[in-house]
Amino acid sequence: MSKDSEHSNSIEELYDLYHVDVYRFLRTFTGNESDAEDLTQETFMQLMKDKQINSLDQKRNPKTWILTIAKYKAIDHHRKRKFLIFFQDKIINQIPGVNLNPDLITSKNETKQELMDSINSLKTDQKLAVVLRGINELSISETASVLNWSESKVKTTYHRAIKQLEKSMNCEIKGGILHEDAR
Amino acid sequence: MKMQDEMRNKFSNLRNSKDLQPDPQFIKQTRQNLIQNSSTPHSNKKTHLLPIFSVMLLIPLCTILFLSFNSLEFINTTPSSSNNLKTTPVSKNETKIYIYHTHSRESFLPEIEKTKPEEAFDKKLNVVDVGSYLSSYLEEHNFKVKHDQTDFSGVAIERGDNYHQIYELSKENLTKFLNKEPANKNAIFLDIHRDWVDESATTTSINGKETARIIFVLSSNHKNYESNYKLANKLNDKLQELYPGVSRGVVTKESTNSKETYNQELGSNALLVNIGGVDNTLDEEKRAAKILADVLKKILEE
Repeated sequence: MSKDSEHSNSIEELYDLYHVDVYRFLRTFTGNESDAEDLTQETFMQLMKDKQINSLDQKRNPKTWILTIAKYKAIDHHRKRKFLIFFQDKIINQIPGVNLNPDLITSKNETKQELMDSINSLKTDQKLAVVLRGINELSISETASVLNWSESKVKTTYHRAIKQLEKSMNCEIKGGILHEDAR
Repeated sequence: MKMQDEMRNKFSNLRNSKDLQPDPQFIKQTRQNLIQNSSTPHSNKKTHLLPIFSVMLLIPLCTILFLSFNSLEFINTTPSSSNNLKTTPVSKNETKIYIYHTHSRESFLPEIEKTKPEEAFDKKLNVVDVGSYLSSYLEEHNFKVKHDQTDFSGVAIERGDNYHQIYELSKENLTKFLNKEPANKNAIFLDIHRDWVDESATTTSINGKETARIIFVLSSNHKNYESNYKLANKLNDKLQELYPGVSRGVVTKESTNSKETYNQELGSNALLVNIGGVDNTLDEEKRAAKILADVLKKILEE
């Protein structure tokens, strides 16, 4: 039933077609470039293995399939980081005089960066929904397939996330003004 | 609509910004790596200790977190019951149920992808769909249902009527129905709306599924208030018993204006029911409709 000529979707072709989507997803989800690059690589390596093991999956929409892998990579990474940060904080707090330069942190005039930060402060579920719907511009059913959720869950989660973003971005603007006044 | 569009613009700005484009050097390098790897059969299986450790630690951590969050959850209790009310004899087989929607375009934000409650109106996807679910569940329970799907909001908009005049429109249809058969005055009239308040008030979880909450709204300035109240109260009690958390209770609006009766003076079993609110999805509404149908069946069988 499955012809091997369907193997035409070689890993290079899939890479050429989808690496930007994958990178965008991971860049927004992780919030930084180097993690996004690492995970993009890992995603396509994983895809290559999966293709060898199970060629049946080729019938799936390749885009949602690849983004599903990227999602697992992102969540995995997120868990690891949480774990590391937990210890790093403890260690950093014990070293006297180590202070992150506040000027470096707050130099984010652009709304793009603000949006990125707001997205990053969302809960994981909301973040996934926002990145896939808003940044990757997947449809509701594609998003549902990547996340393995019901369409209804995609709708509510996305809706709540947007409300949250609107709120937090307004707050940040207000916070900025307050900060100026305080000087 | 503005806000949502604004957000969409922000998304597409971000999407097309340089930040979200991978570095060309990196693209090339990764592509080469892939090609190399795909030609050599891979066999290196490294075990990473860190992930295993982190998972081992995460499991108990998550369990603790999960438990502590769960214990925080509590059920909103609604105004309590008055048990000993003897109610009007409505029995199942003869009872007709008349469902209508005075504010026919009330809609649901997650479905129409908007965020402001004042934008929660839609021509096509709206509270009439909730009425359809309710009708079909009631028909499954062998009720005779009349679902008036008239788009009163649309008619009112065309005529330039205001929000209160719109009850006059739905009243016309109700009166026609009442005049058809004398027995129709014993029908149960349900004017199905959805609330304005946000999801924290209008959503609960039933068997692990998000479900819209229901509130019964009554007007008191007419002769049928008592008997309408009895029906609302019975439904509320039954909901509390079988689906705790779904009912938000019975609310009476006391208006001195004799016209603001929500048409409830026309029947002895007439209610305005808010199923969910602007933040609910149709799936959540559907679950609530199913529950309401079940509870109606139960109280009419008693």
